[in-house]
Amino acid sequence: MKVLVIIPTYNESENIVNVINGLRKYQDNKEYILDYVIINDGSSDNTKEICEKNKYNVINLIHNLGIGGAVQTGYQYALKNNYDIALQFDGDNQHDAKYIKDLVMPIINKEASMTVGSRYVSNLSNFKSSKMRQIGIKFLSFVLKITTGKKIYDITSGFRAVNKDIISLFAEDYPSDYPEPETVVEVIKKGYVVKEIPVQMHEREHGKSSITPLKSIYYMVKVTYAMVVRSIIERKG
Amino acid sequence: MNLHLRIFLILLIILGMYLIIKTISKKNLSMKYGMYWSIIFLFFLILIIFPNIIEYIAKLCGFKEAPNMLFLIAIFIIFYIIFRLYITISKLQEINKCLVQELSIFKKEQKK
Repeated sequence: MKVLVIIPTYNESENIVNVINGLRKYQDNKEYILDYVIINDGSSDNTKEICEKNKYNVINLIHNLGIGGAVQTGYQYALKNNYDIALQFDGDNQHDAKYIKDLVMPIINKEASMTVGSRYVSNLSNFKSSKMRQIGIKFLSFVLKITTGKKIYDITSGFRAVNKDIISLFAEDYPSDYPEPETVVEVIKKGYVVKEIPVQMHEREHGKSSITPLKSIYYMVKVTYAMVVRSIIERKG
Repeated sequence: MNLHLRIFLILLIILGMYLIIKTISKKNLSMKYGMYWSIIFLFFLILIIFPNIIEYIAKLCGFKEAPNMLFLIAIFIIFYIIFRLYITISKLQEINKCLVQELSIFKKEQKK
């Protein structure tokens, strides 16, 4: 089994070395081979130089595509290089490499086609983000329940792993902005099993989060719309 | 507003919504722009169901006739959409240029 960790980054030069060092601690494994690829989404800082200096496996996008386009590039890379499992891992040190195995094993054991690292199904994570954001996530989780009948608590989590079928699905079509909840709807509607795995997440060490309060209303409207439309489209198809 | 006219307009909007979702599912329209159009349609739907809103707001703003206000709003919305369209086209041109340049340089380097 070959596992690819997809690490999208945008101006994360302060974090990227820590992320890769954290990942390497858990690279030795009997069950599977763990590779990674950094997708540098046209960063304007020295992310590119740092990656090349440290000889990291990196794809430098020649133009900023946004998170969706960057992650999709990772899935295309996984498909081309015949990976069995792809795992999304944020480049800002919020995710903990310790839990990669927890996300990968259910897919290897064929218990699920997709696993989502979740802050809300256990007390592992003391960092659960702000009150407002928790309400937003609760609401989107409710939208998922209505549109698919399934319950995923940490639906916006960007810490997720998928099997080969879903790699080719995502390589072909992936939303360009705020992709996480919409793709969960798509995957469930297509009949795949999604499993939520308890993980611990950390607060960012450097830099700022990409979602400002001003954008959050737009975010909620867009994501809700996308989830509803996606569920209608998948029902017809 | 006449009841038949209202039913006709509502059917028109349902058809419009159907077209939007169908176009999105064919990947000819992004979710983002589909949402913009849906919001505009929803706005029209509310006005058709409660036409008194227009009369009320028009009076409040000092328009002599309610349709005058509607035309003005419609022109502003269309103007804004076209403006956004031009911005998007400009961005696309820039990215396209980047792609052509980068690919051409890459191809030349591959030949060496």
